[in-house]
Amino acid sequence: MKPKFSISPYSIISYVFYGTAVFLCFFYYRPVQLESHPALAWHLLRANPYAFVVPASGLGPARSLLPGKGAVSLITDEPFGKEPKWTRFLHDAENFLCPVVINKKPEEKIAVVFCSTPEIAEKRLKETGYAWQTRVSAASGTAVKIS
Amino acid sequence: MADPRFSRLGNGGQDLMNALMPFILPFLLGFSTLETLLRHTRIPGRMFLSAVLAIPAGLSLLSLMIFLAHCLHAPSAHSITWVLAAAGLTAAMVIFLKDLPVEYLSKARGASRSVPAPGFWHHDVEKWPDRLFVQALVAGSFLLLIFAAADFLDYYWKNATLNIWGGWDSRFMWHLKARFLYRDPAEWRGMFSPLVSWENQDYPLMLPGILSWGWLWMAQEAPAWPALVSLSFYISLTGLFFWYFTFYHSAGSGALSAFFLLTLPHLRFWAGAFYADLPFAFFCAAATVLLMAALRHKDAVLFILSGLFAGFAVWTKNEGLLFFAALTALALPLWLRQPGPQLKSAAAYFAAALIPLAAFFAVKIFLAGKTTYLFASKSPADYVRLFTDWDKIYFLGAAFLAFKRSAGWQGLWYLFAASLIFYPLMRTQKRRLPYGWLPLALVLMMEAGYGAAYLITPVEIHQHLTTSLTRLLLHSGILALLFIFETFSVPGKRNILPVEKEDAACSVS
Repeated sequence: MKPKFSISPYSIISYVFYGTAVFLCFFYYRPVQLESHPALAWHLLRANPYAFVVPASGLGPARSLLPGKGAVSLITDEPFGKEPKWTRFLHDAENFLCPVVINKKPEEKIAVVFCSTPEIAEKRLKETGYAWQTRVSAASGTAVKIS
Repeated sequence: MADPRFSRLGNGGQDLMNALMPFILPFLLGFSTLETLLRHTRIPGRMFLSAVLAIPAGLSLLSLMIFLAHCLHAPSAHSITWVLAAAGLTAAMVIFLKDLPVEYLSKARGASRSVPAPGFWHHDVEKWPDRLFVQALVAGSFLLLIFAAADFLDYYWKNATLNIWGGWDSRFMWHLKARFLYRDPAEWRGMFSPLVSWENQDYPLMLPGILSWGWLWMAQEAPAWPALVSLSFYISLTGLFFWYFTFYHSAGSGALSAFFLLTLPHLRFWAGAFYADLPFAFFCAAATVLLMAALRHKDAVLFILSGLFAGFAVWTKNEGLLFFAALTALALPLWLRQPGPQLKSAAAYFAAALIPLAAFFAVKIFLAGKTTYLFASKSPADYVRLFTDWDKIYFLGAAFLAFKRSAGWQGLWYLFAASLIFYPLMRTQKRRLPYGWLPLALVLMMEAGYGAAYLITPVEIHQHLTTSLTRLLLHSGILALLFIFETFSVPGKRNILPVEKEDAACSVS
């Protein structure tokens, strides 16, 4: 006896849909272009904190000089809000120094200084009314409010 | 001497698979709780569902415990968290194990009333050659699923290692809040300080709590943890779709819906940014699916779970309040239509949502100094003016359409448009399951809510749209995908729910 198909019309709509969905997935599919080293995935699973550079970790030496809580100001090459690079650094610094809170205005008694060169650091300290408290490098450290 | 506050940053963590260990306790907590609740229901594929929901449910419960611990006595919050977690796990395991021999090992398995899966290959044909044709299609869809899973994992680990700190919001807001919870609990209220520049003080703390849990377990701020949390929610979301369509429709539908999710570019991208939007989309989908199941089986326990996951959505993002309101507004008329046993279901739904909602409002009212614009006071005249700005409304409509045409949606919204046309036709089938329209109603209500939020936003509209609309569409997009497959899936060979006949048997009253 000749085999007879008995799929309902509703099911045919479903199969057309399945075909369309698969077609769309492949139509929009783009092969993975990213390149990364498998060792990093291994470090990821091992939760190795040394495999990745912590953003704003340059503030590490200054951090050990700060009180464990409260607020400090952060002095960088430029006031925040002008250059996106330093705004981003401010947010990274908040993560790095947490639970110490950063006041982006130079208003707190203690400030963390993180500038590119000693000249810029001196200029910014004068502008904001701070003086060096402890220098951990030529252009970074902590400062106290003097005016 | 090293500052003890920061010694956790780099104290090793060299154990194999160290970053996966924090999932163990949430899985056990979530699985035993869900299995205990679900074992007397008639939901199909019960253990699979429990396994799929276990990690998100366990992580969410731990997030609430961490928040509670910080509220109770902040300096001892870590110790209190351990006590709460141990007590919660012990209680859940004792209750779960109490009936274990009867439920799972006994031949009779009398206590279990779970409806058996309607056949792995089930479909609407029985005879050769139709059966062979359909089985070939199902096998093909599983091969596609395997391909998509491998491709997704390849993408995910590469993206995670190259972008380990995540996108802007996760890096500068969610992770920062988590650090306040983890590093020095006594100072956790610093996250609500107006000095913190990218803070959004009144955002709920589901994700920070989950991140804090992992770091607490590992005793270090492992950068891998946020990436693995996001991955776990992606897998759970895919598993949820697979479970729902396999057990309520057909194996091919389950595999293809999971395949679609794993290849969806926007979802992959935002999962790799570790934002809260993926967990939020997961909770929305879970609450919706569980509400559909609850209405179909008329089972109070499923209403409890639906309310719980809707509450988790609220605890994840502010948008959760909109979702909860929409879901409740849809369920309310169905409850009111049949007072009596249904009131018990309504009570179960609200009781389960109560704890996450209480935590959400505690942050809004007692902890956050300032609230987002949605909760800022405006006069009625302001609202009338904003909601009758027709130019802006037209612009927003055009923007929604433009964003939905993005290649990152992989044609999802075109399929959604097609399903709007076909749903009335397809639902005339006898085997079509009831309440399949729920995801559609939620998509419309949520997008209307998001549109209203854009109308009153004080942020420049172009900037606001470009930074948020795709993510917001992700929430409704997942529900839209649910509706698409609900519309077009081949229905089961036999009814899982002869609903009317099973009413009495299904009720757990």
